[in-house]
Amino acid sequence: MEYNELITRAQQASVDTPGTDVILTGMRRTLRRRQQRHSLLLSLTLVALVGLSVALMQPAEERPLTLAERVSAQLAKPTSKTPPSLVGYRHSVRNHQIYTLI
Amino acid sequence: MTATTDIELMQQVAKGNEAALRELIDRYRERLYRIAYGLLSDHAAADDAVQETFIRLWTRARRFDPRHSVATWLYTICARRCYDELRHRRRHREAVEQMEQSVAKAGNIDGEQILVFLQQVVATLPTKQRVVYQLREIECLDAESTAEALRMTVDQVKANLWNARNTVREKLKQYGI
Repeated sequence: MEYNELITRAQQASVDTPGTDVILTGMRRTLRRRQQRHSLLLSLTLVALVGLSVALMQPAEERPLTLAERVSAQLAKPTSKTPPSLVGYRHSVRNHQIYTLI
Repeated sequence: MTATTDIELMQQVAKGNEAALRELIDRYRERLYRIAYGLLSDHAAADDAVQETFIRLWTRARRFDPRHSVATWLYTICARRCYDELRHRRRHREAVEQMEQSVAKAGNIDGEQILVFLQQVVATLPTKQRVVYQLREIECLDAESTAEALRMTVDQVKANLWNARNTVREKLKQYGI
């Protein structure tokens, strides 16, 4: 068989195509699933944002201090009173400041 | 629905008209499916590619530029999706083995088997050549539209087609077709 003849046959060959209704049903299902996923993600983001803003609105004395606040409070104290657990952290913070300067 | 141009249908789809969408699916589903199946050689993957193309049509109809052809726009979406999928698959060796098994099983390939064999030969081509070959040689898309769809230059399309044709001819000859 000649190449050109083969290509003509390939161009005319029929394929089993899904019907329009099948495609439409599939599209609806996919779009619905994406919409649900999108709504869920949006709800989770909103809940997280509300939780964060409520936590931040509390007065500092009523809520536990954040790690950054605890560290800065410790760093403000004289070195001798720094608890051993925070010594390494304090050093790394200082090193970081030094490296940043360099 | 009365005979309407593709552009008019697109304008209706942009307004959320589902009947217009149905009409466009009717017009293009077969051709898009042929492109997708020709490239992916997998019914389920071809179904997904066609469905995704029409989802894009539905969700992005407002962005469609009426100076372009709806057909080329759809082929572009479908071809790009298949092209991306093929780049992730890397089933080249599998395709070559399938082709060789097919020859061994059939002995002398004839009739409808030739078309299946041609498809298997095309599946062994490198991804770019395969997509260009399918769009230009089988679906008769013009070089400019193929280049646009695949983000290539027209010269790259021509070079890929030339290489693909040579490889296909050589393989067909090698197996006595």
